[in-house]
Amino acid sequence: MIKTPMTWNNSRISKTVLSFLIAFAAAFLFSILFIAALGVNPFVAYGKLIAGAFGRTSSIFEILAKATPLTIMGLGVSIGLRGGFSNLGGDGQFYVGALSSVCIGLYLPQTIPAPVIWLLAILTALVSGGLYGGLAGYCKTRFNTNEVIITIMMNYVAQYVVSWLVSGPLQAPGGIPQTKALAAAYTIPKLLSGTRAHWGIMLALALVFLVSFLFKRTILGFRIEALGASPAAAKYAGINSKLYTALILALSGGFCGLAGMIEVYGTYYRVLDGITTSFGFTAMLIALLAQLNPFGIFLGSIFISILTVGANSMQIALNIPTSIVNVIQSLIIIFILIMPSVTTRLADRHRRRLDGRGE
Amino acid sequence: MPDILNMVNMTKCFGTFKANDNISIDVHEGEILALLGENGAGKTTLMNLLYGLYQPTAGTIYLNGTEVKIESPLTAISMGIGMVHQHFMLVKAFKTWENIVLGLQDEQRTILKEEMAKEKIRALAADYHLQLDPDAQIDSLSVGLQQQVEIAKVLYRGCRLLIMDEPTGVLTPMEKESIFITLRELTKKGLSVIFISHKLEEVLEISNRVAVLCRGKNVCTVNTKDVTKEDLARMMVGRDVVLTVERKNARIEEETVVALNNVCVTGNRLASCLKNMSFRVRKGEIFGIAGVDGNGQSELVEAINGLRKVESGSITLCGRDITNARISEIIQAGIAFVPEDRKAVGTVQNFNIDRNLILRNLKDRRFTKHGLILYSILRKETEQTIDEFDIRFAKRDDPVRHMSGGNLQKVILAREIKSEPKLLVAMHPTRGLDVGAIEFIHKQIIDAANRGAAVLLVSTELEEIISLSDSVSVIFDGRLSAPLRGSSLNMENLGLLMGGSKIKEGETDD
Amino acid sequence: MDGGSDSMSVLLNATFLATLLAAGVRMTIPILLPAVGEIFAERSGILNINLEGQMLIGAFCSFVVSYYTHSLLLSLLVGAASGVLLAMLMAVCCVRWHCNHCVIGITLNMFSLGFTSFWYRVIYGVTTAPPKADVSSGMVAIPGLSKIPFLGEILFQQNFLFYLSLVIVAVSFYILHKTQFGLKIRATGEYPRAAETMGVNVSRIQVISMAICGSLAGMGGSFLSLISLNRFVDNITASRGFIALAIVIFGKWEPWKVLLASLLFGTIDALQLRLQAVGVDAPYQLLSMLPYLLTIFVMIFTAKRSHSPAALGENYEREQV
Repeated sequence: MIKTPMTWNNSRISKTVLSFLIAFAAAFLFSILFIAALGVNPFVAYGKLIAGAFGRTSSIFEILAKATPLTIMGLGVSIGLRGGFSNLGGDGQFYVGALSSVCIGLYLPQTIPAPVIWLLAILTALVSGGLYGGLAGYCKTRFNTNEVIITIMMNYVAQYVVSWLVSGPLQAPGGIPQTKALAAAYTIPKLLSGTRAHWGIMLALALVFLVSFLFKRTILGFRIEALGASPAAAKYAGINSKLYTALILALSGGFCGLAGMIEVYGTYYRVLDGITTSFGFTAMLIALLAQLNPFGIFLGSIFISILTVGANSMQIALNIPTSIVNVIQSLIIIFILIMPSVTTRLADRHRRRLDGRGE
Repeated sequence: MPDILNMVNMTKCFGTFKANDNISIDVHEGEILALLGENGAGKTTLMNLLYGLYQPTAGTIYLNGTEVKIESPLTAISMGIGMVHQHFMLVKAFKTWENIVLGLQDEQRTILKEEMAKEKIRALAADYHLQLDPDAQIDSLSVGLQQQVEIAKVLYRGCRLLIMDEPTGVLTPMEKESIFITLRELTKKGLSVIFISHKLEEVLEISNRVAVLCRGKNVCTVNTKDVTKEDLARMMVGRDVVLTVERKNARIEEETVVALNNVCVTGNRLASCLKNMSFRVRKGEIFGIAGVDGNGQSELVEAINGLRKVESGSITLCGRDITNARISEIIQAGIAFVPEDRKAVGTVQNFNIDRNLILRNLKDRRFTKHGLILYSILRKETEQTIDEFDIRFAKRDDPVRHMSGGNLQKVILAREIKSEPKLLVAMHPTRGLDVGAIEFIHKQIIDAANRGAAVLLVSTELEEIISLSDSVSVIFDGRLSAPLRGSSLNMENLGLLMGGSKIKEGETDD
Repeated sequence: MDGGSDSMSVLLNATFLATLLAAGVRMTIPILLPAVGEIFAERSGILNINLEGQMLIGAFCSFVVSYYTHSLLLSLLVGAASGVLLAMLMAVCCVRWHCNHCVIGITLNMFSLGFTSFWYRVIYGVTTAPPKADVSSGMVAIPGLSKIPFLGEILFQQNFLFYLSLVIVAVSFYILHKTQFGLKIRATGEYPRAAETMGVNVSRIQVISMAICGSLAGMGGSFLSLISLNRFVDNITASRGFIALAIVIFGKWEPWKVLLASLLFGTIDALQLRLQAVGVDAPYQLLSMLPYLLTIFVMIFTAKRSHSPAALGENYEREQV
């Protein structure tokens, strides 16, 4: 019904870097306008941001902690995008993965060693998130539903079901809508005690390499990219688009579910009502920002996390609302999205002027 | 009879390519002028100039003796020129009257007056003997009736000169008769018609005069009653036969590689549905299929390669039934395919050369192992291929989007030929390429056949077909003619068959 | 306590039913208005995923204006205008710069979220007593008819925006099916090339359709902040924009069908709130998720059979000659 072919401009590196710089500059210019409108000196504001982000050890580790689930989700979303699908159900898949994996840690015999539990939790998160995402994919192939709307709706369903479960059947004694906490032995150790970053970031980095490997060297990655780049050529090449649609969305969902598991086992140690706040959309923006490059996604997650942590300081010090981060993020993406077309038009007009003079 | 239209010394260049080269035609009032020519002869370009879709590089247009400049279709319409395109510009979800009334600036310009429009349409239909139901939804109408709506659209706007672009390709024989009657009625009312076609019989049947275009030039304009089919065929295909590569010492074995048996396939248009098609290609044989686009070639080629459903009949490869098999199976079975669209289908534009070379061979043990692609081995192979096929590019790892058409085609050809296929299907393999690339690709195809592959060559270029093929069939209206070989394989016969006529008895070998 | 049968008897009580349906009708408004606007956008070929953002901007701007002017009408107008501005940005990106509709729509949604949250915090700060929209509620009682038992309460004592919405539905139907302008919109969304050959300016039609959509979305969002919740909170729209997108599909891009579908959703929305209030023996979360679940089912059962505008989501390029 609705085609969403994602053609990625694999244009020269220099052009990409240039459009990035312009996009960043333009976005920051706008943000300066916003800040100035508040009567605050923009340079002071950004000074506070940087100080807040890098000033203390705890904040640097906070950045790493925040970047971990963002990276994993960003990777998941990018897999979907490479195959030509916009998976906006990251949050829902996150919930599904988080809850199913926490159950592994809570309800299996507590004598099982931690690494085994972690392995099982990871698998559970992958499978449950994958099924949830694959369900959207199946709906697309079978019923031709638009994946954007369906995945967003599925977010709400998952959120409410989890909310109900942690307020009811799975609620820990104490009256707060949350599950019991994981045993201390099962939590992922911190990188540095007293900070929020944990070894889950290693998993995130490993996945970065894995996804990079997937698309650089494997047949599966090749097929996914072919399908996203040119459905007609993919068909000609014998790639089964129905199968791969479901598969791509399942992979994407699995990653997002895994992000949920990591947040639970590394940061929160339980599932609370409202554990995620629109990670899914942020992850999509990061994937777009990074032009689907896995390492870029990691860097993008770090960048967004810097903005988020720094903006918190900006708010505390200068009363600038943290939602400015959303504004900056989206402005950067908007400029990146329109750059190719704007430059093409300018080039065309320039060429036409030259032709006119030449004739 | 006065001239309603004079097009004088019309030239249209696209870059260095001259689509129309100093063409002059004139249309008398009340006549039907046929514009005859093959694919690429320049007919549609010329008419697009008249209709304001293109601007001429040189030349003047006179309507009723006055010089005019036609900037856009709106201008053309306001001057009384109407065009019925090959692909109808009808909104399928709309009713007939809605399509006719769309964009009008008269009394329908704000609030639609449905009854008034329908009245006018009915009157129009009665006047010009058209079959119109103002209330019918377009996608419920047969193609012939849709065409009537297209004609009504232009008549409603006061058209005096009607351009019909290949109108009968989509029609059944009965509908064809019907449209001919309509056109004659129109001329009785003083309208003039330009009838673009490649079909000789029809041109002889319907027109008063014929202007024959060949390679962008007007060969001549004659009275229809003064010419024969053979004359027209000769003029249409031209006498210059440039044979560059010749097929010598063909070794054709008896073994049948691919056979079609009574294959029926639904096509995009009526003329391109395959109707009980049967033929076979033997090992080492190059079998050419000539014909004007839209007569079923795409459908045939897609059916063989699993891209289109075969409704009935069977396709076998070396005895094995591959009718409606999955595409991956067909590739594995040994059918190679060079498709007509090299950018959207034959390659993935965003991938580099290496990846495109492996696009269809992901199961090739030489380059894949345990789900991984062995790019280092592939790279060596690619280097060899680049050498062998003389593939030129700017940067080695650039996406193939930046390559020229000829080099892109070489990539596709290399991939398909190097897979040592049993059957190579090549569709329009040299379309849009320069002479050097054409020669190279011809040589490759011949080599493939010499190595024992069966080759199915589909092309609109007659020199290509004649010089490469061992036998040639012409496809027309979804059916194949009997194969032509040896002395019967000549331009004139091909021209006749392409135009839908039969050649003289006893002219086919075998 | 026998919760089950008590709840049932409560449900079947006529008064309850009447208040429920009246609430349902009221809650139709923030779904119906954007949905009708989206009909225009999609029928001209633009898949306006930014509907949610346009509602949000409308909600915010109208709230701010209401705070200072106390005028319901002026606030609504400003809300609609702000929706138009955002819609114009989306239109330019799609029509002129050929962005992928989904991607730019999602991005602009995040932009709206950030923008509205930012300026709300800036203007009002964080307080324990959030400011209220001090405007008239816009309730209208139609003389005479409002006295009819049961139906009177449901249909004839409604917010004036509801009656306005009905007028908008009727007018939209008329425009789409009885005017040349509507014909051009529909042609653009079905077969832009054919429309162009008939003299239709495809770009202009798409931009105007987006303007209509933005104004209606802005109005729908304004209803939420001015009347429904009477204040502004972050993400006040709660994905109603996306539900509206699904409703357009469910309603087959027809104003009257979309009205019916919106009434259904509004009622479900009201129902789940009422059931929570009444204390029905079901967790409130499962009730809250009803609208979204319904949307999924609706999409599954209508998407395949639906006849969407043929050129929906495609970027049209004029032929270069």
